[in-house]
Amino acid sequence: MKKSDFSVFDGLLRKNSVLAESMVIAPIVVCCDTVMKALVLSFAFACITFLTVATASFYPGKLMYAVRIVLYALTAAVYYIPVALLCRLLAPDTVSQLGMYLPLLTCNSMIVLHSELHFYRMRKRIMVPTLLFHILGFCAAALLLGGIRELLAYGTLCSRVVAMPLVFDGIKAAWAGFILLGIACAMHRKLFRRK
Amino acid sequence: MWFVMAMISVVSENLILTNALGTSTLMAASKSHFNLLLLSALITIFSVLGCIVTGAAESVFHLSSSDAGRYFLPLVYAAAVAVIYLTMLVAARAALGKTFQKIKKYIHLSAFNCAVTGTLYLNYEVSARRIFSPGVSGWTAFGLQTGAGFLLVSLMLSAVRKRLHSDEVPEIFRGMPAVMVYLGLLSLAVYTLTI
Repeated sequence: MKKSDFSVFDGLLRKNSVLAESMVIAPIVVCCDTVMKALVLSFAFACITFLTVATASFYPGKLMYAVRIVLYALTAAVYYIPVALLCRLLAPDTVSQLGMYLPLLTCNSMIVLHSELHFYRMRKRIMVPTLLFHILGFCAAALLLGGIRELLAYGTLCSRVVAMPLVFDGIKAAWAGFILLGIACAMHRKLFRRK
Repeated sequence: MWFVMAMISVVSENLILTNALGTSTLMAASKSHFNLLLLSALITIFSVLGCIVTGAAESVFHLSSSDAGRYFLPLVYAAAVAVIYLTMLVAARAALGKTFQKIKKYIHLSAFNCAVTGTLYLNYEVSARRIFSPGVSGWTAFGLQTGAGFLLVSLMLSAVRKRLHSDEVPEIFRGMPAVMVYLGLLSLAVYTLTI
């Protein structure tokens, strides 16, 4: 990567982890059909990913790659416990609706793959803001797709009724998640690709 | 009859098309026939062994059935996958010699991802719904079903991969966005089978 090409803000828009890098797709495709679900998912993702990547950055680099990956996964699973408890306290119904996709965040590719390839090659003062903008990028993508799907599937936005002429029940399903994500990726590419 | 039922199950309960699990790994798998076969085989091995280990742990500790125990599931599942992952690396290194260097990155990629971990969560649900009888044969069958489902969708994607990346596709949709839309259409086909 050329230094001139790099910016800590890239993770938010230009190199958005979902729309440009196709990471952490499953929860977005299946779960993000309302803003509330997207919000809880984003909160859990932000807490688990930030705490895990930040903590794991202190693990000795001398450890074997496989051992480091195992430690990252176990660290994320440990952080999951308080984060899940907090989420259940704040939004118990939504947490039940998210099902297995909440614990699945503990093995997201930003923790087990991207951290090694990207974040841990940076100095910590660069890594922290870069990681935060990548996390914000995920939250933005989740909220955007959650909002669009809630509008089309339920005719509401943040649980408030919006005057929609038609609602499409099928938009809640995974197939619509894939198609909308594909369209969002294309729009993102149109807007942010550097020539 | 058993074979027909198994094939219907592989399609209608396909983890990628119904739950979007392992989509990023799928995109890596479809790049070449070597990737496709190796990743499918490794994901099958991880799923089968993971289902057996976590299924046995579940039948002893009953973590899923208690509210408090559910918070520890990611930790138990990560530990189970870690043991299988490290054992497989050691075994592959001893058995394959120089070839190990070529395939070790695929083992890294197959261990901690949503396809395998999601299978472990669904294994409990499937056992609970008694589609497969709980026990080593049921857990093995579910793990094999996951691997077969991954292989099927990888084959379907690799068959059109060149076209989805070709100049015939508009530039902003070329590659990842087109793949998402294609997976959405496949998922829609499966969705129509299940409604």
